[in-house]
Amino acid sequence: MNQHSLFIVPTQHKAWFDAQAEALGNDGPALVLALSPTGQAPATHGWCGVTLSAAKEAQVQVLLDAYPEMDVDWTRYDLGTDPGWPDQRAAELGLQRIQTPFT
Amino acid sequence: MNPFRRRIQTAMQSGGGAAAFSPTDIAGLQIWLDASQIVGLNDGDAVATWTDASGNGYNATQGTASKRPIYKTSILNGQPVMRFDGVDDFLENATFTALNNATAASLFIVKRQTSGAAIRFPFLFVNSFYQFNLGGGPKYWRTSATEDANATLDWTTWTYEAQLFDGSQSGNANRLKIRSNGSPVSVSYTGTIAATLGSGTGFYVSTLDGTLYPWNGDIAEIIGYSTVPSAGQLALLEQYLAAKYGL
Repeated sequence: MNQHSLFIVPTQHKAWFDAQAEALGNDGPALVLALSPTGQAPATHGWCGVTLSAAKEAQVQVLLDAYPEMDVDWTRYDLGTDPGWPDQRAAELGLQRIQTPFT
Repeated sequence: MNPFRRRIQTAMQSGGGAAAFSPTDIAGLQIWLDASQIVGLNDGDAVATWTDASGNGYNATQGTASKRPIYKTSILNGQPVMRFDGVDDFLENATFTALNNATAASLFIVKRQTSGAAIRFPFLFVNSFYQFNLGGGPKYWRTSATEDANATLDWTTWTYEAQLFDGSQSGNANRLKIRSNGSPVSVSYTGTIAATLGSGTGFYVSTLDGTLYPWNGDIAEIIGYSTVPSAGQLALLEQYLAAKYGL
């Protein structure tokens, strides 16, 4: 089985990313705007976690190679053994999950 | 031996001589999401629909492929689970209203949180009855936005938990009880637990609202009633979960 993919994308490229995801078979907006450097809104980045087939991964690689200016950060991890990877990777990029105060 | 435990063990060992307990044996079953009843999926497949086994048709679904949880086989005592990535995975039902303004309800969940010091929601009935983890500290159970029952528990190990609401009782401790792996847990309260639940439409698995606070971890089974089981029924149900999941 393939590893889980994590995409972190600048907010201004959400429309592009969602359109590419849809073209690859995703049937709805893929990117969730949930990250910022301070953990406060507004979001500067969004993320998407998904397990892709090998064929889809190959398509993604071609796409990202063609559009480096979109600054898509793509990493893969094991969802079972490394579940904390999304927050760790966000931190490595200077981002954190936006935590809207919950009352 | 506890007589209820004996009955379940007898039923399981006899190969059908005695009727095995089922959550459907207790009146008021509203939803029953059971990963072990999913058919046609393989390990690692994304899940578009978690079919409600209660017979009420309250399926939990996800229409967007990238937001679907993963079906994992043989995770807990040989049983499968739903695995949520804590990024964007969730399931929802947009029609459930069976607990609106209810005076009694109970919720059972078998789950394990795999990481995260952030707020996470494993399950909620919209505006009425839910659980959440306030960032790795106390775990909360609510009947409305201003009423909390909170307890310090380790959600990073597998547990089956019960949240029992009986609005006919007096006092917070009698109205909202929390149990973990078959035992009552110490609970502190914020506000006054009202005699009736709130109202809303739908429920979510693994999020507050489809975006915020996604659950990071595994969920094996969710059972919800519009009643509070009797002591005997509660023992049967908890023994069913304990035996099934080896907890």
